[in-house]
Amino acid sequence: MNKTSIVKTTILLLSLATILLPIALAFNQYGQNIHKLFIPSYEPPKIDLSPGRFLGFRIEDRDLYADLEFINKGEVKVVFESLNAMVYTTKGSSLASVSLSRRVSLEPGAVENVTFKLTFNTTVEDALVPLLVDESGVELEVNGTLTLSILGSKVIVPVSFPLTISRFDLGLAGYI
Amino acid sequence: MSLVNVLSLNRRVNTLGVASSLLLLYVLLSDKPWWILTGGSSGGRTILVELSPFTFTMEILGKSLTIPIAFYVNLAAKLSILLAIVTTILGSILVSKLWSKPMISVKGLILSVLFIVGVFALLQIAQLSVGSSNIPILGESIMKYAFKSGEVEVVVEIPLKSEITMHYWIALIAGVTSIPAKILQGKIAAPSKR
Repeated sequence: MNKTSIVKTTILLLSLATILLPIALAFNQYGQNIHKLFIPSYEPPKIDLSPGRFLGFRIEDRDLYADLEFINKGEVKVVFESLNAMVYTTKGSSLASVSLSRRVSLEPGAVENVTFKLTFNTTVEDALVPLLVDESGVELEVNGTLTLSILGSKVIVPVSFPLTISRFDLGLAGYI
Repeated sequence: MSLVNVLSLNRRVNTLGVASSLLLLYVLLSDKPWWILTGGSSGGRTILVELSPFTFTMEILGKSLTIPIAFYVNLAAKLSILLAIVTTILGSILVSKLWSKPMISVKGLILSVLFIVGVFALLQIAQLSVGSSNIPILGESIMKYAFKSGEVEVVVEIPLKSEITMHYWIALIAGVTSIPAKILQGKIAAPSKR
């Protein structure tokens, strides 16, 4: 065997060792459970956004505002980016559009007021008073999509929830 | 004076081999990623993937995802390249020896090419598993991912950006340089015809 062949063989053996050594280490570490080598290990952070206290309605200009507390019980910051929804009567006719009055950012553990803005075609009173005749409150339905921002990604969540507005909420107790 | 003599400093050292090895050594010791994929915008980071043959980092929603095999693959790549660096430097110094030609390694080039092929293959697997075709190997895109949460379908839009880093290009240059280094070694080490 000449020197070139010896060098070639030595390099080949060392090259094999560089591959076989990590394989041997993996076998030594994982033994019979070699399949565990390929299983990713990941624990996602908790994402938990819960509604808190309802703080009430208020009328400003031609719009109705609803203030609701939200609590971020999760581990990541959540931002309320936008709401694109409609308010429907129980008969299915659309009454108002709903949006967020401002973008709200909730750090983990934070409690923030989120203000929903209900925009009617007419004044709030004109839109709701006919529905409140002989009724103490009116049952409405909100349907739409809420856009949240979580760690730089947009999360679009369909929302659908009932909304009850009473005369007292609007300060119309003696109005009708 | 011939090019061979210039590049070998009068048949004393294979400068291309030394250059290739030193570049590879820098890339190995820097331990920096060759390819980066980030997801998110406005300072937020939904996804981070940093890959090189020597490192693997993956974060989803700020939490690390680990795959045990990655450590051993990285270790094998590190040892292989370390061996290639050592043999190439020795071969470049022992240039006058006829048996030194096999010591000039082209593993840097093989690794650089295999890395891109590997990233491409991994992206295909990832796209199949998340049901999206918008994960770029290079450039920007928006990945849409829909999943059921109770009764409703939640849609997630993740702006993605991927790039090949300077360290990949340095490794590729080192790999490409190893080809003329090997040719040069053959010319220097070849017995004189005179």
